[in-house]
Formats: sequence, structure tokens, C-alpha cells
Amino acid sequence: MRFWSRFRSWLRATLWRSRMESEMDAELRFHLQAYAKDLVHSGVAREEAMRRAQIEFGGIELVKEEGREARGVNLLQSLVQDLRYGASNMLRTPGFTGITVLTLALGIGATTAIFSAVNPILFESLPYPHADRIMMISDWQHDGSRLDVTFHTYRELLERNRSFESMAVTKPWRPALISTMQPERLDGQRVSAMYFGVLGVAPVIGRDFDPSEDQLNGPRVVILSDGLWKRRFAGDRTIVGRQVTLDDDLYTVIGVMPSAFENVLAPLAELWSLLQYDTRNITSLQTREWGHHLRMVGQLRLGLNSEQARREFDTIARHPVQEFPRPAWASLEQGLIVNSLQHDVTENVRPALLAVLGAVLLVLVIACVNVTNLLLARGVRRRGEFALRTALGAGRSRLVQQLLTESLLLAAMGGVAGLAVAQLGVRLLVALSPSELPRVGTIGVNATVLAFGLCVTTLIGLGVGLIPALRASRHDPQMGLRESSQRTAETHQRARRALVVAEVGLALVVLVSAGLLLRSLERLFAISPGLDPSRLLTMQVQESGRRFDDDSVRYRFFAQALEAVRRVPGVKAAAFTSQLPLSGT
Amino acid sequence: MDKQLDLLQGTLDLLILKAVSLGQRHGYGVLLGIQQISKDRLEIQQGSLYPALYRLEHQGWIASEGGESDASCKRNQKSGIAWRR
Repeated sequence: MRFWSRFRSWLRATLWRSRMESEMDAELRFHLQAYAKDLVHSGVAREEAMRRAQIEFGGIELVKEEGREARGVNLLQSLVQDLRYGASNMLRTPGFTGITVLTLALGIGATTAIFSAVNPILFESLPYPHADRIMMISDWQHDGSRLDVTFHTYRELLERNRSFESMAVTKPWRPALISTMQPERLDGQRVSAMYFGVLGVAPVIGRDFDPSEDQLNGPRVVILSDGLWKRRFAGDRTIVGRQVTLDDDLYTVIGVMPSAFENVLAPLAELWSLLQYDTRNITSLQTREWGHHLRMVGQLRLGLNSEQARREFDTIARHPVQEFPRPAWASLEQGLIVNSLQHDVTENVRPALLAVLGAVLLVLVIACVNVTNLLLARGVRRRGEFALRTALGAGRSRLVQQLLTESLLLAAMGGVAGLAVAQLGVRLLVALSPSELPRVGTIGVNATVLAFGLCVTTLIGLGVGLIPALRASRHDPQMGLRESSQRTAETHQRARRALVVAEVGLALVVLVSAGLLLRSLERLFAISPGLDPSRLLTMQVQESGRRFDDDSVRYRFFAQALEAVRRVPGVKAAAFTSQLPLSGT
Repeated sequence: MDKQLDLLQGTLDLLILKAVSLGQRHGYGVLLGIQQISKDRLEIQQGSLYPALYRLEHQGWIASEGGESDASCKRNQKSGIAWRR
């Protein structure tokens, strides 16, 4: 309650400043006159009474100043005062200011840049509504690792489960776009009809897939990404209903995804079409519907978690039913794995990112310790100034307030400069990051990152200034004015030495860690791959079109292509392979 | 004999509150009131009266009203708040 009345009083005093001032002035004068009158009544001469009244009252200005302070009006005034003073101080010592701002800029900038990369992966949730309910479902391999599911497994689970709102499967699809321009091989996905429904995103132009279209020999429909729509179709608003040729077949465009859509399962995919697998003939086992090649996602029902879903799948797995017979390789005898999609997408890079974040925080701490040291040294030099101010009546909190304002100002300048560093750093990060880094597209200086930078800057400003401020304001004014005192010099030296030790220690930790990592990298590159890659070229070749449906035609094409390449001057040998060595998955 | 003591801040506040509880007063009147209460044994530094008054008003213990023709501010006590500790 008292806080509220204080606030109201402060507000009144700030808003109606001049009126309060004149009221206070009138009141004090009235007091003086009343007192003088009393003195006259008791026999003192008029002028003498006025003079005595003024002397006994004390300085009017001092009383007014104390009155203003009691009302709390002074805070805003004093802050503005401090800012001006601090700014002029900084301009007077450009070297010190420059170094401090630069140090802080590097620390804050690097931390902000790393945070912008780490934030979308570690902290933010996936850019879908209900992102925490989207699960990735996989089968087990014999060695315990994960395995893609088969189409019939997906259908059985879809039919029999009670835990999921919706489920979908997806596989990669790389059609060739044939048009008047150069044919282009595109990255895309073949999905079941509910794929976008599971993610909770819908096309911004046109419509989503319809489950009735997801049948064998169903209509050929395709949804484009915003990027592809702008790049190959010039952002044509009448695109819905247009026909495009993909791999010799005519597809109808039915929709375009929003530009903000992030497809974490296949970040490079630019177009989507339906799987249109055969849902009947479950007993014929040599079909693609029984191959393990589909990735499965699902959206949990509200209120359920992944553990409950997994247990339900276990029950389903242990009790096969007649309408869903299973072959030995899709027996589901080990149950299924259910993991949150967010976790799956980020788990590989999480430890590395945490390590990088830790390292950059260490660098920030080093920068802060450095600046604290510099401020302490400067505080020693300004002893005389503080002593004078204390003697003139400044309380300790006033001095601390002034010094903290100065350090906040320094931090603010460092923060602004750090923003430039962060921008540079972010660009560097995006350029250098591996393609497997999830959500690379969202790394940038956005509102969250700026807010983080602001918080860090404020904390640093206060933290860095606190110790020097407390130290500087502690002095007995007499000692400061006398410009001597060995004792305070001693304690100052000790504090600064401790800070230097801390800084060197932290820097060593960072250096040694970096050195060890570089060593590991060096060893990694020194491993012999077992072949001499110095004059090897690789390229991907894919056929496209109806005429290659016939195996013999396809074989003949590849054989002729190989021959032609062998005859190119400069080529010593050429061969085909289905998988390059050291190419990973 | 008038004693001059270094009063603690809280003491001055209490005296002011007591003086004001006896009725609305302007600043000079509060001073006289305190002298009355203490039976002239305490002399308040006049310069410290007004900051204390403003502080009490800021914190909400007393309220002030605009003055009359003699341009003074009468002060009265906000009833109820003093007892809401």
C-alpha cells in the first residue's frame, strides 16, 4: 500500500513540478514570516527578527533540495545528470572508452551470435502449433538401431491406434521438372494425405491433399513450396490448376505452402505429392508396400505422452490381427520407438552446441573481468573527485548510482557495437555451418536474439560496474582528498591482481579446449581413407521419364553413358556405384 | 532549560504525527505543536522539519491541502492508514 502512495506522490511531483515548487516556496516563506512575526511579538526588532528567522531556519535552498529528495523527484533528475556527466567523461578519455567498448562489443557480439544459432535448435520449439505433440515413430533393427517403417505397418497402426490424432508417412522424391527452360532435378517428398495435417500447417494458396486422392492410380496432384513457386513460376497467383510436367507425367498444382513453412523432416524439399501406395494386396510380400523405407510421424492426442503411445504400440505389436498379417521382417516383435520430433531433429548436434555455448560464455566472462579491472583502475584515479562529492553532501548510494549509470552507458555502447559483431558472426555461422545443422534457415538476428542481447548488456553493465562502484564510494573523504594512503592502494592492488588471475585462468581454459579440439580435428583428417581421392570426380546420374520404365532400356542408357564418359579425353577410368565410399547414410 | 538533542529520524516523524493528530496545522503550526507536546524541552531544527513533512506525505502518512489567503498548506492526518501497520 505504501508503495502505491509513494508512486502517486512521485508521479504528482514529477508531472506538476513547477506547481509543487512554487507551493513549497510559498510554504517556506510563510513559515519564515510566521516565525519572524512571533519574534516581533516577543519584542525583537523587525529586521532583526527576519534575519534571526532566516538563520535559525537554515538555508532555504538546502531545505528545498532535501524536500525534493524526500519526494523522490530527484531520481529522474539525477539519472539525467549522471548520464550527461558520464557521457562527457567518456569523451574526455577516448582511449579507455574505446578499449572498454571494443572488449564488451566482442564479448556481447560473439555471445549473441552463438545464441542466435543455438536458440532455434536448443530452446525454441519447432515452428508448428502443438510442436510438443508431434512424434517420430520408427521400427527396430536387429542391432537395436532405428529402422524406417513399411507402408502396411503404417496402415495397421493408423487403423488400430487410439493415441494419435493423425499420422503420416513420407519418403524422398526427386522428380525432374520438364519445361521450356533447362530441366531441373528437384528435391521433394512423397507423403500420405495427412502429412501437413500432422505438422499443423496448411497451404496458403489453394488446398491441402485430400485422403480420397491417396489411392493407387489416384489423381496426380502436387503442392509447391513458396521458394519453388517464386523461382520457377514467378510467383504466379493463378498457379492453382496449372499443369506441370514432372518425370514425363502431368501433375496439377493444387496449392502453395507459406513462405514461413519450415519442413524439418526434409529441409530442402520443394514440392510434395501423394504416395498413392496400394492398400490392398497385403499378402503379396515382394511389393514396395512391405519395404522399410518410410519415415512416420504422428500428432498425439491432447493429454497423452510418448510413453503411453509407445505402450499402446507394444500392445498392438504383440497382438497381430487377421486383417493385418505380417511377414517376418516387419513382425514388430520388438515394438516401436516413439520419440518427439524436436528431440530427434536436434539430438545429434545438441552436445556440440552446448559446448560452443559454454565456450562463448567463458569468453564473455573474460571480457567482463577485463572491463571490471579497467574500471577499478579508473576508480582509483578518480578518488579525489569522489571525495569532493562526498564532502559536498552526496550519499554513498548517490555515488554508486552515478558509477552504475556510467558502466551501464559503457555496456550500452558495447552492446550496440556488439550488434554489428553479432550480424557478422551470424553470417559467418550460416556460411560455415554443415548442411546437417537443423533449422539453418532461422539463424538470424531476430527479436528474440535482440532481447537476449539487451538482457546480457544490462546484466554486464550492472555486474561490471558494481564492484568498482562499491569500492570507489567506500572511501573516507578525508583520505581521498589527501591523495595519500598506502593501505587503500594495497587493497586495490590485491583486488586487481585477483581479477587478472581469474582472467588468465579462464582464458587458459578456453585456449586449452580449443587446442584439444583442433588436435582431434587434425587427427581426423590425417586418417587415410584407403583410396587416393586426388584425381577423382563424382557425379550423380538419374534417369527420368516413361521410356525408362523398361529395365533393358534403362540398362542400355547407363551402359552407353558410361562408355561415352570413358571416351572423354583425360579420363583414365570410369565406373558406376550405388553408394560412394565414406558418403555416410 | 531547552535541551537540544540529535533526534533520530523516526522520533521526529512520530512527533510530527502526534502534532498533526491534534488537528490540521500548517508547517509552522506543527513546529509549535511539537514544542507544546514536548513542553518546550525539545527544540527542533527548523530546517529538518519540512523534509520530514514531505517524506511523511510522500509515504502516505499525512496529506496536505491547499492553503487559504495566507498561502499556507494545512496538513491533516490520513485516518486509518496510520494504523494499518
